[in-house]
Amino acid sequence: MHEVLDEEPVVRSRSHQRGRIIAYVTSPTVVLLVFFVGPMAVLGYMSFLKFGIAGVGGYTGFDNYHEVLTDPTFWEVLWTTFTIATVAMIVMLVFALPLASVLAFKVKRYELQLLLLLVLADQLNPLIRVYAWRILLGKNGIINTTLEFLGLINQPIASLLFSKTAVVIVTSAEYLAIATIPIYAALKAVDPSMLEAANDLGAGTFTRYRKILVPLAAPGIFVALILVYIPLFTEFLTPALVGGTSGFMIGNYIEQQILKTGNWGVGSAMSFLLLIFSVVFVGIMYRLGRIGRLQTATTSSQ
Amino acid sequence: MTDMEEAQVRVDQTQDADPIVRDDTPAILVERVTKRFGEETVAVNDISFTVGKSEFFSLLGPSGCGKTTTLRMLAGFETPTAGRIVIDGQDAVTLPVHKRNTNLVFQNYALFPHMTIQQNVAFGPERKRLPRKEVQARVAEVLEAVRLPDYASRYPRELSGGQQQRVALARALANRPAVLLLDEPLGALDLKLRENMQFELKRIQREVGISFVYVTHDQGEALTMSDRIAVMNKGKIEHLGAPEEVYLRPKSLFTAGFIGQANLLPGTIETQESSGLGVRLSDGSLLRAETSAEGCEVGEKATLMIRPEHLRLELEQPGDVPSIPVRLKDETFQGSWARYAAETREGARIVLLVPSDARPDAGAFDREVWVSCSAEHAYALPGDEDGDVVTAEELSPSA
Repeated sequence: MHEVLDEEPVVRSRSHQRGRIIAYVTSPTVVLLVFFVGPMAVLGYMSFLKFGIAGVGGYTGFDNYHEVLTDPTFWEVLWTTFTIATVAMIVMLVFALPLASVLAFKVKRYELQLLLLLVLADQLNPLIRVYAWRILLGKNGIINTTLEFLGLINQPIASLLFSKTAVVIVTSAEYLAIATIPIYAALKAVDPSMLEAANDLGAGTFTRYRKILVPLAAPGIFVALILVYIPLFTEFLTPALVGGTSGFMIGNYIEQQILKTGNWGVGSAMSFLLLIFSVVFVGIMYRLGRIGRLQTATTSSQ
Repeated sequence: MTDMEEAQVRVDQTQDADPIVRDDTPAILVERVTKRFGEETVAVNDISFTVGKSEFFSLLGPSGCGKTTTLRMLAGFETPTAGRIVIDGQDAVTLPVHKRNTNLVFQNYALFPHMTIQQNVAFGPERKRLPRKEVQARVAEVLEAVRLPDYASRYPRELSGGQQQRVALARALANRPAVLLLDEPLGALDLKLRENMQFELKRIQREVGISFVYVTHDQGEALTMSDRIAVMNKGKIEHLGAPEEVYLRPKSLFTAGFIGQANLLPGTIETQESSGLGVRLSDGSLLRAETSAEGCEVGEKATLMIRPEHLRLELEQPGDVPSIPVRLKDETFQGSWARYAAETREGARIVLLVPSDARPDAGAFDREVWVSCSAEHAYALPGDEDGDVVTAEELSPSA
């Protein structure tokens, strides 16, 4: 089959082929230019403009960047964002690893169906999902009333909603599918007898995770980190809806600058600073990821 | 710290299983064990056996006979549906895998790719929380035993298949189990290496003096290494005995066909005397068998088992020994022997081996010749298989 398909274009004329190659290369480039580079350029341009109550006030050089970098609130919010993203990431991994390993090794018969369910859950409208969490976490929500009914608490835990905790819970649930799938893919390449061997040699469940599963899933974990950490950093819908004042993240700060204060210049500068931080982060992750891949390069080369 | 307690228990057990101390309690006792998967599949059907301390015990059978399931029940990866398993004096039906005094050598080795050979082999002893020095000493000792002392710092991917297989063996032995379980460990090696490893395995087993339970579908492997063999078929043990017994005096037609090459000739028992049985074969010829399995009665159906090397090719009908008229169909020269396929008047196939220097000339192919067998080499089994002759190579092509 393959050979037949591969040979077909050879028969065609060279100019036709060249035209097709140009079309293949240019169409995504055009899409990227129009929908990605274009808006970025506009944003970049605006980050050098002065916006006041009177309107756009012309070129100001690096004033906006200076203002952002010397703004203590920016650093405070950035720190909050960093802690929320990191804690959410850890919580997510704690759930994603067992979930991925159960999917990869345990369920067998319904593996594909469960995987599709996971993807489907991820496709649910984020707004609906966040509101569902508000019902669960609210002062008179399902969790509080259940705990009260069981007699575990005397009065509702107010900090469940509109807090950092709420943002961590909701965001870690939100990206669970995206974190699980690359880890699942990495574990799928691991021979299940590896885990049996560890068990046979005297390793209990925890040791099997620590010594075998996590090191062998490392490439998947790194992919999950990169896929999830950046959207976590720029998250603004979830903190806006469940974060309250203490769960205020950098995305909300940018939104506030642009939509509420109308200071497009400072907002754009913040966006670019966040982008630079992200690039640095991905660079670090990429280096670490290469180490991880080297270690586990032989997973499938038995 | 339950982990610490577990570790201590395991250490104690290991010390109890000192190979020099010999007593009558078996290393493994399997009593009326049955394993079902779902409602209809019976993988293992009511089997019982014991494995002695420092015995080399093989579970032999075709794929799907239940041998691997039996081994996995011993290792703890499967729980018996019914029956009792005692390992090293400890009831093992519900004992978790990591607390058993057994270790398994996996068919595909299952070495940890992200660890060096040293780390792989040390994995078991480290789980027991042994002091670092003790761990080092054990790793050195077992790597010495499998003759790979210089490979400690390498990674599994840097080793050949045969070397990886030795590391897998060393890793399992480093835990000093009471019983070593081996799941077709030589299956992935080429023939030459496999033969070498058979001797190596036997040597190591003698050196460490613990019980080996060895699962294989290769009857040659089982015959070479085992003290006793359990031949399994369809979840049952067909025959349990020493290699000579299983080979020479099989209890069932299945065993006769599975172990070695054999001609299985169906017939009816006509006479029964102290000197042996007279069996009338379906083509009318009468052969004598000195020995027979239990259950052979006059008038009942029976099958004669004759090894290809015990059949003699006669160009003229012999007067003194019973013989079968056949036509030669095919000749394969095999060095010191030549192998002939012949057909009886009824069309049943017979395989015989003739020493190369006694080969008949080409003219023997054009006419009827005779094959004879002395009574001492013919062995009678009760019953037959649909009246059809089953030759060994149809069952085990590896012979």
